[in-house]
Amino acid sequence: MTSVKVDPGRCTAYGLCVGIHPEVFNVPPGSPIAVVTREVLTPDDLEDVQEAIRACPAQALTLVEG
Amino acid sequence: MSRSDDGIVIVGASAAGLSAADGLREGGYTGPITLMDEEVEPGYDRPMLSKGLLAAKDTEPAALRTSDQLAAKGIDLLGGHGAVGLDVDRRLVVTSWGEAIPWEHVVLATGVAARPLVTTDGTPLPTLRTRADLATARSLAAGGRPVTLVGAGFIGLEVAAALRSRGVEVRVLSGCELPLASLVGDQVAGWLHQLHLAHGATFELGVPTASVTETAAGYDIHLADGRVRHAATVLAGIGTDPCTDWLIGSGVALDGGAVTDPAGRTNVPGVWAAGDVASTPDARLGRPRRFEHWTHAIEQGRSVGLNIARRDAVPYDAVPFVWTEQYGYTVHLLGERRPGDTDVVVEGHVTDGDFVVAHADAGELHGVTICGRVRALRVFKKLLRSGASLDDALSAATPA
Repeated sequence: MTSVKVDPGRCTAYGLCVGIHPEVFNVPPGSPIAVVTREVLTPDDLEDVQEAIRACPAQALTLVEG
Repeated sequence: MSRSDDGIVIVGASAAGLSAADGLREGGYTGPITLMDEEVEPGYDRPMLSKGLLAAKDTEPAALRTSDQLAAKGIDLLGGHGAVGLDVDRRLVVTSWGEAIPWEHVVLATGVAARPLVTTDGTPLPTLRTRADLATARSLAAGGRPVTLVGAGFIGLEVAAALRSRGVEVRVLSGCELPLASLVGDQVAGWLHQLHLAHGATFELGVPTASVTETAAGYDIHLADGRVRHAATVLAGIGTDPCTDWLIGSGVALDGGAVTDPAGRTNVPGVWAAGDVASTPDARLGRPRRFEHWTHAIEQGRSVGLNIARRDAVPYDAVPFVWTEQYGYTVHLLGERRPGDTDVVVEGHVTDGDFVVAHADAGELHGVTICGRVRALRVFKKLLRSGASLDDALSAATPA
């Protein structure tokens, strides 16, 4: 099982991750950070989630295995 | 003679350089990687400098990598080491400390520098591109005196918005008639301009700045039509230049940047370029061009790293993407609007700051500008990548 987590200490709600994969990430109105809306990633999610991890200017996203 | 022990040197440790290093490891390269950068603490969240960081008083830019992350991947980072020369025959990078670092492959990722605006007395005026510039810009903001911004591109406008949020009096001077109009169209540019006016920024548009002289009270800004504007403090956002001076005479082809093929290879074997400094062929323009986009630097840098590691030459191609933040609104630009394009609102309303505007000509979709609808980015990026039409954009849109 693979998931992605947001480091609340680093995230500044740029929202680039939401633009790359809106089914996995969201920045709810008023939220200071992005939230993960799909706890368990599917194999189809991985490519876009990895792009989001690379793109994050705050480097706030990490892939978690198991 | 094998030079494989010499490893790979990456010059520039910001988004493109760090991503090239990661791409090398991801692609299975196990040799030495040396990342060097003239900044002492390179590799930080640069997009935030002119946005939230200038609006804040003392937060430092977030580092893109920790030293533990670099160590875990076996990446040696040499901060405070600028490159002053490239010897392509002996395969050496010469550093500002006089060292000669050998390489099997080298990645040029030196990026761009803010174009200096220099007074007639020879003083370069503050700009905003680096961590050190942020400190200068913050001291301007804290000084309480009005700030005159020369230039109304993304940096000028973001700085204006950040300074207004701190209550600083701001005036923007630019030769353009309507800031950003060529990039986002008149309607969105007009809305942004009104937003600035509503927040108390003032503008003098349509007349370029000719020169700046130093006075006892600050500066005199001489406009091209002969008028003079007094300014207590000035910050310049008049564009950028690729950091290629150190490559002049090296044999690497330069044309508005380090010229590469679509895979990132320069004309010299073993020499690659990535990120803002790389000038890649553009079939439509018929000449090489650069991108100064955060995600482009990351993805193209990674692609170059993968190509080197895999001894491959996969071309890099992606939909251009850039964003700007002003007064709490984030505007995303996908693809590229072209001169003469028609701007069509396909979702929402521009004046609400909640919209998708398509830029198209004769039904051919060239770009999309999005605000308040970040979830739409993925849909329109796919359309642009597939060469979709304006009709496709209209059918994909979620009305109002």
